Amino acid sequence: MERTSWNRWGGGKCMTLPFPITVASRTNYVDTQLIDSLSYNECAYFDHISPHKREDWLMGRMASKCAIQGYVGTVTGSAIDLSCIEIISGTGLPPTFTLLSPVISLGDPTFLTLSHSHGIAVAQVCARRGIEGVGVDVERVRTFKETTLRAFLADEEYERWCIGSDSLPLHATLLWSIKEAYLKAIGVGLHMHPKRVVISLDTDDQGYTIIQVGGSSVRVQIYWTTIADFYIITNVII
Amino acid sequence: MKDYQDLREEVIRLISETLNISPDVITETSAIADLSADSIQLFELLLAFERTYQVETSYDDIVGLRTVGDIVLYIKRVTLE
Repeated sequence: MERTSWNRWGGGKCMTLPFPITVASRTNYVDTQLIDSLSYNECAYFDHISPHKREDWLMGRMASKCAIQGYVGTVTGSAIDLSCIEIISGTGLPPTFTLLSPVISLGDPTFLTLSHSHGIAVAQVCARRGIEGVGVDVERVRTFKETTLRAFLADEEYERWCIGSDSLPLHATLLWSIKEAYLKAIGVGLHMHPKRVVISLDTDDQGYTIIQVGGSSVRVQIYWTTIADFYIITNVII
Repeated sequence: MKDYQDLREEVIRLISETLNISPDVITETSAIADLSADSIQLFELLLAFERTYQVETSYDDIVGLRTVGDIVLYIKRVTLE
């Protein structure tokens, strides 16, 4: 992602994010690389995943493990094999990870956030220091049904970004993606209705975006970019 | 009132039509999250349940259900109330 330019919601661009995001795409790996990166427990779990979900699951594991590998290297100076990193998810709680190596200690607790969609996965790892949460999301840009738009967008969002828009699929997918990334950052995912999160272009004097969540104002940083022409990646930092 | 079997067939048909997948791959034990290709599809499925069974205020309940069988039992319960 080094050459990717990121848009900051509310205006401006940047070449780097506060915390790096790792992207894994199906086209970058052969099957043996993916399977070899799994821990013993992950290999056992893989056999129970629905066949049509396996590819996205593997991409999510690969993106997460590469993100953690990079974080471990930065924090400790140690190299760790991907198969010695075990991702724990699917429990209804935010994903976490374990290092299957007794000699590496990260010190600070960490956030891990990941997302996958149609063969592409993204992941981000950072220390739980000075922030309340991080969330990433990747979505394939699509055309939404009118009923779906009305269901996840607040009236003001719909009026601002959807009525008369020349780029409705992009705008609508981006708004969905920001909401989902935010819901991941607070650790609830879709268990909170996305309509309760209202995105605006309001910023405070430090450039943070102000969003409304259940009637309360929340300061967040929002970054987004497009890749391969039809995917959006979004990052929300609280 | 629909019995369990009828309701199960109806729910499977609704999932099949909403997600555009064959009803043959959907069973009572299928995980809802596994059937949908991504989070937007999952959300559209939850909307379809709300709309079809008029359980508008129960998004929080539906989103916590794991399997097709859980959905059938939930709808049977709320439509009785």
